[in-house]
Amino acid sequence: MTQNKILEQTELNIINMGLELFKQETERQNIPTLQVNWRPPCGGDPELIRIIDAIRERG
Amino acid sequence: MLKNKILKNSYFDSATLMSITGKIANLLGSNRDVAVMMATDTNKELMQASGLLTAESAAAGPNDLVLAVRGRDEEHSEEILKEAEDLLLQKNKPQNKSTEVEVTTVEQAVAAVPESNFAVVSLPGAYAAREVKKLLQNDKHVLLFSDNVSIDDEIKLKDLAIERGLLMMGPDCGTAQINGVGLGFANQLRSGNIGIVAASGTGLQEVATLISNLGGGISQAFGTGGRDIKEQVGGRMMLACLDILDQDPATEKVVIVSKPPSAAVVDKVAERLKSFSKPVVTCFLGADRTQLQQRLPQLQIADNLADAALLAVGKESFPMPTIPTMKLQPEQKYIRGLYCGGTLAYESILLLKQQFSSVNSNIALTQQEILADSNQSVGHTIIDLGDDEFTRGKPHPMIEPQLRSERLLQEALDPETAVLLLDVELGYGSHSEAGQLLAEDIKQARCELQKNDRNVFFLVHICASYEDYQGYAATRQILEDAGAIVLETNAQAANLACSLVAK
Repeated sequence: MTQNKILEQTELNIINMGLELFKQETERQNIPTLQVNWRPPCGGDPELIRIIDAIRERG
Repeated sequence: MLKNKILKNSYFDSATLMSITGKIANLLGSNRDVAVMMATDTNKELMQASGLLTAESAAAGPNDLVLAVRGRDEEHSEEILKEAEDLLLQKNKPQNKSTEVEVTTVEQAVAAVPESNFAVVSLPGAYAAREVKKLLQNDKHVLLFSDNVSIDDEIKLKDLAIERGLLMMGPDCGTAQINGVGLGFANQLRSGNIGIVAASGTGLQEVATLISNLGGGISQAFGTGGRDIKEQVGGRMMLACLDILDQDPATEKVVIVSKPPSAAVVDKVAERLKSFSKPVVTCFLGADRTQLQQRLPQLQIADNLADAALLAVGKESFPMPTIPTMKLQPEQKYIRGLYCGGTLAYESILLLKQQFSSVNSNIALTQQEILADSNQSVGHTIIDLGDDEFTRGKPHPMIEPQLRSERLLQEALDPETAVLLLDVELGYGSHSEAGQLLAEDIKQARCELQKNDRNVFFLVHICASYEDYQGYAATRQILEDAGAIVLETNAQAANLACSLVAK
């Protein structure tokens, strides 16, 4: 088990996935925040996603 | 007349859909006659159950958007559907964005900003876990706001995070304060030496803001997600966060906030606290304090969130406002609470139960007190309007306070209502005019009441720091001008409600 690193990260730099509201609010606090314009992978098909993930894990 | 329109292969994020749902609900005059949802199986079931799904929409797939509207007649429904579609098209127009990098995947984000160290994830639950796994594998701490993540996934993600020395706060984690930054629904807090670990969103906000308002300060405030303290998850993130606070030189006192953990988790926490180097205050809302106090005689145990803040800061009490005298009719016997904050609703139920044998709710403490219809109060009733049944396909009331307006008026005009208990949250994530909107609702209700020469006590707790951007003092003033009695703490509001009804 590794010691938690959060206390070392005095300057947060954020990736935001989902509600843009949260990005607006961290930017309001002058925290650099990158919005990921996420879309469901594989057209949202859970079986395709499962296959892609299995291939990725093995690769 | 019910009409649906399907937009094939049209994905929109939940905030966009909720914003449009809210606007269409305003046009229709009710949020029960509209749904704007991606056609996942779960959403189709929800729309079916609400009588909003037509036969043709049953065939739509998870990447299709369904617009469902029930207007006065066919023409009205068509008109509203067109309005909804126009709103969606506006959202789809390329925004006048800066030179910001456009990324669509975790991999691209990590490559674009290699110095990133944190991720806030509020994706649909079905997809969230796989994205969080990738983020943790890329050494990012995570706040996971999404719910509907399986307990197995939660355990795996937390184990992965702990192994890599990372935070995985959630799922269903709404708030945190990390290295001075408010994440999710959060507040502008004074910086100081008190650390918090909470398995409860508004529980964390209440304790943190009260500590700040009492002149204390917060070093770190970690959220673990509500399920962390259940037996299966075993308090994994709570224990990890306690370790961080034990080592943090800036933290000199710690507050733990949650609903009662499972017995096994209480054991683990108690065991951990035996070797903890700093004084601790616990607030396990609704738990029996006796056993824990016997095991840990040095432990300061708070029975409610306000007491937890007072113990942390070493102060005695909060100021109470002056209570006006107001005549109630003999049939006005009941308290009705309408809450945006789930933990605040829960705390109020606990406090009311100390005075009254029965407190009904959609989150009641016993099966007998669960409301048959959550839209219809019976006797003393406390409603958590942020609970799933009210927020499926609709924004959380902290984001869209007008979702409470209809119900507020309904309760105020109920001849048996004596007291209305209300919370309003300020800070990051909350509506920029939350106080003003609530004040308008209260004014409108009082205007209607005055037509029949009736009074109701409107007790409002502002869950916020004095430094929140919406303005605590200005919010208090506008609510008092509207006729509300404003209380500094949720416990004060609930206890005052009890005393007003008991008279």
